[in-house]
Amino acid sequence: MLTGEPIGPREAMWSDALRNGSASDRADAALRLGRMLWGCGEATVGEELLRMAADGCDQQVVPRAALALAEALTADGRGEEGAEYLSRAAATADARLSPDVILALGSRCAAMGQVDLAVAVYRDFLREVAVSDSELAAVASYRLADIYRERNELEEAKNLFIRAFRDGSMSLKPHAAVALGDLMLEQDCPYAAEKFYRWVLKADHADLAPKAGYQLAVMHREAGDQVEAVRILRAVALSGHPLYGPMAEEELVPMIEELDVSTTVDGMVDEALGGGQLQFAAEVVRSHCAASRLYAYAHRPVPPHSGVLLVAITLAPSAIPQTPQSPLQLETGDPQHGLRA
Amino acid sequence: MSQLLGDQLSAAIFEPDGRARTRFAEAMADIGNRHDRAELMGSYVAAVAACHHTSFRLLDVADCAVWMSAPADSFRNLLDRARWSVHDVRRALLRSALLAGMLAICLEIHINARADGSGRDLIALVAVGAGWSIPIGWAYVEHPPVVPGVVDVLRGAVVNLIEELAVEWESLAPGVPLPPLLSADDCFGEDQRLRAELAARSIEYALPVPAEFDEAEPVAHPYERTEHGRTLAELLPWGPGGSPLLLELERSDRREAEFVAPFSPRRRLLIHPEVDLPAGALLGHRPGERARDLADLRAPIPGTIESLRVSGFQHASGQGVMRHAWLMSILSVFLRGRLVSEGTRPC
Repeated sequence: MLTGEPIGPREAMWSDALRNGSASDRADAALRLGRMLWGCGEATVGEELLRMAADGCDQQVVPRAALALAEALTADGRGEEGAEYLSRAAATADARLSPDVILALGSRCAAMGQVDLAVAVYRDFLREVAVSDSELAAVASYRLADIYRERNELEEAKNLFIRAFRDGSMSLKPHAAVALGDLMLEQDCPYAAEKFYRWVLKADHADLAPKAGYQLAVMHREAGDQVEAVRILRAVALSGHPLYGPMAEEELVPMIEELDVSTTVDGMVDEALGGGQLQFAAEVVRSHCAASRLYAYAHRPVPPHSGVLLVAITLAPSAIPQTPQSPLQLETGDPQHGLRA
Repeated sequence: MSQLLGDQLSAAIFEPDGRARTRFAEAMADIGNRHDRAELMGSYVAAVAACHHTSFRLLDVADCAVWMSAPADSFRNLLDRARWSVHDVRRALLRSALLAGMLAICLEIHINARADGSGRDLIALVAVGAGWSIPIGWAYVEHPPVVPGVVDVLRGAVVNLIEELAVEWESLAPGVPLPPLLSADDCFGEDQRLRAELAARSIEYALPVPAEFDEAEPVAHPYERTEHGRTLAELLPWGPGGSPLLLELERSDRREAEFVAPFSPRRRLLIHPEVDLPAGALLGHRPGERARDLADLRAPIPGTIESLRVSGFQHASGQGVMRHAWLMSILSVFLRGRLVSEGTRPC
């Protein structure tokens, strides 16, 4: 049936079901094969199979196939035809047999500005969905809570976010936790907010953990706990997050200057060196030290720091001041001497 | 590598005065073999080079080497019983690969299944760099016709190979992590337990799986589709000119993160990156960035088992097949001028 690369065992099984299976098996195989082939770039065959599935009568398959076809056709620039299949998906979807389709339609309503309709969809879904689908119910709770938060119905939003956090998957929990942290902060409950932000930090979500860490650091700084704020900002700065990483670095510089710099940064470097993290130690030196601090390291007699400096200089040669006006240069003579050593 | 053996190899090893063969014997003696045994190895590989069949037996090799006055029994003995150190050969190959600047390790398999379902499979670990490849590990797996057990046997062989390599690697390059593991064979990527074993040993990998693979759940945004059991083709569709996207899969611990990247229209790559940050640091986007580097690593998949004709060698014992594979490996490295002696230190 297909050309090109070899056919895998699942594909062979679906192809076989398509030829020899019962009506239900054929519909399911057409849906799976159709979606897979569309994803492989074989759009014509994929569309044909999806149409076959969407035009069938299997209650579980039809709404999914119609939704998949609607998305595919819309992506292909055939919006009107896509809208027809979207209507078919809406007409045939059922909270128990195809809950994922109901959720997809709900988010579509919200995105198109039909917020009241979206609320109705999610509310119905939460009433009808099977107990076994608690993860899907958590998604519906999160989306509904988001709408309530926008409408400033915060208590309702909080309860739904808590449900999403409790029942959600590992993908959903960090989103719910950050939302709860933000809500708690708005409601002047910093201790509760900190609890949720710390949970996100521990989960180490790629985007949300740096965000939560930054919020937490600001909270600690405002509460006067500079050391903890620096510790968290350091973790955020090292995450390499495109938004919160530079923001944390910017916050760190004056805070380190305010603190006893030699103690804090030396502590970080020593800790990193103790763990054999030469690269990280170099990052700390590079990220947290002004050029003058690099010189201070250069002239420290402790042997491991010369290694750190070599890496730091390799990473950021521009950080080394070359002008004779540097006060440290005047103090110590030839600035390159210590670096070479 | 495809032209390595055959006519070119014969020409190289049978120089008019036999210098290439002599130099090979000297190199083998340098690695730690007795001189007479090293000469026998030289004769053996010269005879193999003279066999122009795609598949050959020990007897064919002996026939080709009659004029070398080395009887078939001594070749049989060389492969079956003689005390020469495979360990030293492997170490020499690994040292050569380290010095050449290896980029990755390729995992290859040759499945030789009989009609009854039993098989004699060969697995090779091959160090690859810019324009070169050096075999650094061999495993021979003979399994009965019990289909469900075969995967476990193969996985065990691969894990053993990796562990042996890791020990040798640590002694030659202490503190340096092993290069990433790549493969062209779907069977390794589809084996979830093998991937878990590699991740537990902090070994990076980029293994292909068919686009129909449906055992992966992505890290999703709350507004993305929620259906379970979607294929990788749906999660990461192949667009015109490929797909630049990368998808993180859901894990309870991000230090075990796994990513999906495009590989070809009908295949995707499962990637596990290792990010070296101290405990307590946030990983942020670093695993994704490393995974992207691994996906972009265009290391060639060398096809070593076929090009060295190891799969075509008929021998009664697994040990004979393996020793033959090691001799062919070191010969190929020697002929490319990449074999280094014991005294040379890897960079």
